[in-house]
Amino acid sequence: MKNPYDYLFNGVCFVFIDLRFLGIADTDILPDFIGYLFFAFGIHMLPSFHNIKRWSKNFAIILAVLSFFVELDQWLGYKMLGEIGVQFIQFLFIVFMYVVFQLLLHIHKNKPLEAKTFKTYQKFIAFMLCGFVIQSFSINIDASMRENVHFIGSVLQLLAYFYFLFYFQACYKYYKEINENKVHSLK
Amino acid sequence: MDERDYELFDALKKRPDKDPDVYFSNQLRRELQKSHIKKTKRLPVATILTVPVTLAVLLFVFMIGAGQSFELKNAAQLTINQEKNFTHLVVIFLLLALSLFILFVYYKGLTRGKLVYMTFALSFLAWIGNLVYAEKQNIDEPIVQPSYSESYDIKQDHIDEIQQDNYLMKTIEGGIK
Repeated sequence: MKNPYDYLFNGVCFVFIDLRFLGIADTDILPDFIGYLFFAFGIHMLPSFHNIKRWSKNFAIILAVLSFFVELDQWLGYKMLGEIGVQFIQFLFIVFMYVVFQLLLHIHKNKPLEAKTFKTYQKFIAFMLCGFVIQSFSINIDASMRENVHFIGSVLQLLAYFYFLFYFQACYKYYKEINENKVHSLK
Repeated sequence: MDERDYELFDALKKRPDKDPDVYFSNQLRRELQKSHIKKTKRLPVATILTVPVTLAVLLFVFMIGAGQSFELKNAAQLTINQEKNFTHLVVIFLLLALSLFILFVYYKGLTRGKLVYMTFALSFLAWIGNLVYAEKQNIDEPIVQPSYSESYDIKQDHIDEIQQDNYLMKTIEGGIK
């Protein structure tokens, strides 16, 4: 049986890693919509029957479709929406991660990873929202400061990404241990 | 009991999914809930916000009452001249206020409710507001402001050179005539 956290981690990687930041390529080489499809599959594999699971899976699929069109817009070079579409998808992604964390909190209730899930939720959503707010305000800030302010927002979002990375490692180990124990007990 | 049964029993005891650390989790939740209640009692935001505002208003009223006149014409002129700086300050203030509010809400550890909903709604509104403001500013000032694209400077230099050339040509022609 494969690890659902693997898929969630792949999803976050695909959504976050964007080579435009590094200035290597003009377009996003790891497309976001594949990340959202990973998310949908990972959520599908999580052990829960709560309604949030269904909602978040549908949300992931809707985001995949939306981000596909936004990426297509950029690939073809129409740039009808420009950065607005990208920022809107970013906001929807934060809302989506909030729903995913609600699901994870529900799954880990009364389990060893409850505290870690809760702390990661606090930091991840706070940093992502602050980064988004700072980036959205950067349009109206003085031209000399604009780039720096935008960079601060990006750094905050990168911090959130690293928090998720550490959380993922803990989840991965936990899930692996459970599976190994199951196998032992069956022997 | 068979030896196999003992082994099975031991294996079952070690299973973390069968025997989760319920005590630890409950304790943590209780601590969080307690700290939540304590903090709301200790730190009433309303008083922290209202006390300095009322103090400032009282001070203002006393100063007016003491007969000190305020000459605000020059100040008004200054503020009109520095309107741009002022708007920048407002933007930075709003940005800080909103990000502090978000940090505060999540620091308190709320997972659902009005405040969490407000953080999302306010940040979305801030985004929309910024877009609308930027759009409006561009209509008000059709002169191209220096954007942060690198090509701008190069173009501007090019245009300057052309203008200088034209000027030189005209002056030379004028001199010949």
